[in-house]
Amino acid sequence: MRNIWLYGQFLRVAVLGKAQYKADFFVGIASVLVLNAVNLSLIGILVYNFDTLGNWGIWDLMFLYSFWMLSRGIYGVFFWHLSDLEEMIVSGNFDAYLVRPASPFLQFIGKEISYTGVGDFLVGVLGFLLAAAQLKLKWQAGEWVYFVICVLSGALIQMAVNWIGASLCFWTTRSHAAMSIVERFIVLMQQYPANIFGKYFQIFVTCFLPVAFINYYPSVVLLNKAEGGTSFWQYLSPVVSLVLLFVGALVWTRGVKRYAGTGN
Amino acid sequence: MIEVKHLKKEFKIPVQKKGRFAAVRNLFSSEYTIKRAVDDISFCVGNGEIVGFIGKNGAGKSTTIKMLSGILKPSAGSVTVDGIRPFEQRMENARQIGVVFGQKTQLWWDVPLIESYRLLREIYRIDNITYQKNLERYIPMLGLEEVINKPVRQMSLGQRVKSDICAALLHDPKILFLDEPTIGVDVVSKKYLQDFISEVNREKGTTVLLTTHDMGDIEKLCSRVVVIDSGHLMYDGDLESMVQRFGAIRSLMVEFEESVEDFQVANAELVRSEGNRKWFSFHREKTTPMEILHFIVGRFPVHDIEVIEPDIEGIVRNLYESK
Repeated sequence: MRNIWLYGQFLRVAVLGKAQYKADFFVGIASVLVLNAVNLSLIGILVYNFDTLGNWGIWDLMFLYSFWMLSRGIYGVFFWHLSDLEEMIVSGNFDAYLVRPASPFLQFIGKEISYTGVGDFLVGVLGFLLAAAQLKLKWQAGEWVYFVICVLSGALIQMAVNWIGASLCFWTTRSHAAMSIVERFIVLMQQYPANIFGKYFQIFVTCFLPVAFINYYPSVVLLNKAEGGTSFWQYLSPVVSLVLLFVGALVWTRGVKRYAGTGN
Repeated sequence: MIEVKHLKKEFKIPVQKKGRFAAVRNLFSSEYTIKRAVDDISFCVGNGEIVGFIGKNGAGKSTTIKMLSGILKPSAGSVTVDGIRPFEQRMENARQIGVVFGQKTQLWWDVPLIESYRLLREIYRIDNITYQKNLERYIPMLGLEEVINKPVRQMSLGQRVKSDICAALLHDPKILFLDEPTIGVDVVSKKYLQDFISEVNREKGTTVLLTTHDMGDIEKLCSRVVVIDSGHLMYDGDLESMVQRFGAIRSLMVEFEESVEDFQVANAELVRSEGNRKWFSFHREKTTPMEILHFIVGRFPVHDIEVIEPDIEGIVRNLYESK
């Protein structure tokens, strides 16, 4: 409880800090909107030419993309600065977290928020509403709950993957290169249904770097896209997110211990 | 208050690979060299003392401070800060210490200073009365009235360091670690800082361990100094005995009425001659200024004299070179 309260206090200061740069706020959100519009029109062109991608029509793809944007928006607002860890360790600024009586993780996570995530989230809401109307989705309460849980899980999966990646710099000092490869990879694949990339790729993004659970499997479940009925493991996004968070916590804790051994 | 016994800290420095995929290969590399940053250091700091911790860059000062504040884990030996082992009991230790690294700020960069302080009040769970009392006392003492509503990024270095020191003392720590607090700070701010530290020490009995390259800080604040070099303890004792021991060479400047030829004086050395002035240096145990003057006055007309005591900087230089 105390940690949640304290996190709230950190966020308050983070928001105050961001409010100092008002012009930046609007330019940031506007540029994210433009970026997403370009992305969506690229998918549009693709589908316009091929009509469908596998068994995914244009509004299915819109749903998939919006699903990702919703989760990415949430992830972005709260956790975008995970990649700052490298810089904090190199500069030694991480030390400040260790001389205060609070969890270093809480202090690091509460250090900042990013408003570019707000732009992603807005695109997600808009895209979802359009897709839901076009696909004539008639969801019961259960589906709505599952949808919300999966959006949050998707945010947490992205957070955990980046958390694990960022924590590697406790060992390597530099982790930016590896992290941006993963980021590029996520950006590339979340826009398309994973099954169009082939079987091996699908196994990879399901078992090894389980980013297909961010938006692909929840969309498969909610749009009923699985051939021959939905399998139970396709429901597992929330579980995957918890497992990844657990791994993240483990890597982080070991990393912080290692930091105490080596300094910067 | 602080007890350091046979403290050691070794760093494994990985051998950096070069060429293709160096970052990836470094990840799996187990090659490293060992650097001993702190090598068997023991010292104690008593309650309410201000101790100057001095040494060249890379001597191991910061590493020691980091072990005392719980950031780094000692490789061997033991450290206790008021009975608490800083690394194993990091949280308990963090509550009783204040730390300032002069070269980086621990404050929130983009928000008004007062917001940083409010957040620190939450982190340290400072009760309202203590918080208000400390703010009301420290802000005027440090002259922070004008900047309390300013974001840290707009502050001058002097203001920033003062704000950082104030931040480190809000929770009434028993011990204050200052790592080069006056580095790069202008003379006026430096004076503020020195007065402030000595005032807080007197008023609250705060124990202070201070690393610095500024000998003014040492002379103004510290009754005791600990000198380390290459991870070894070189000297631990009061400032006066250090001067006695390593500042044995004094100088005497004599200004004559007219220019005179160079000459020799027993137990002293003529080191410099300029116009009507001559400088003699001598060991404090071999002769006195009076003896030298006695010799000179009988032979030449003397206009003025000055005895020059060695400055701390010179003493420390002697100390480093004497090993």
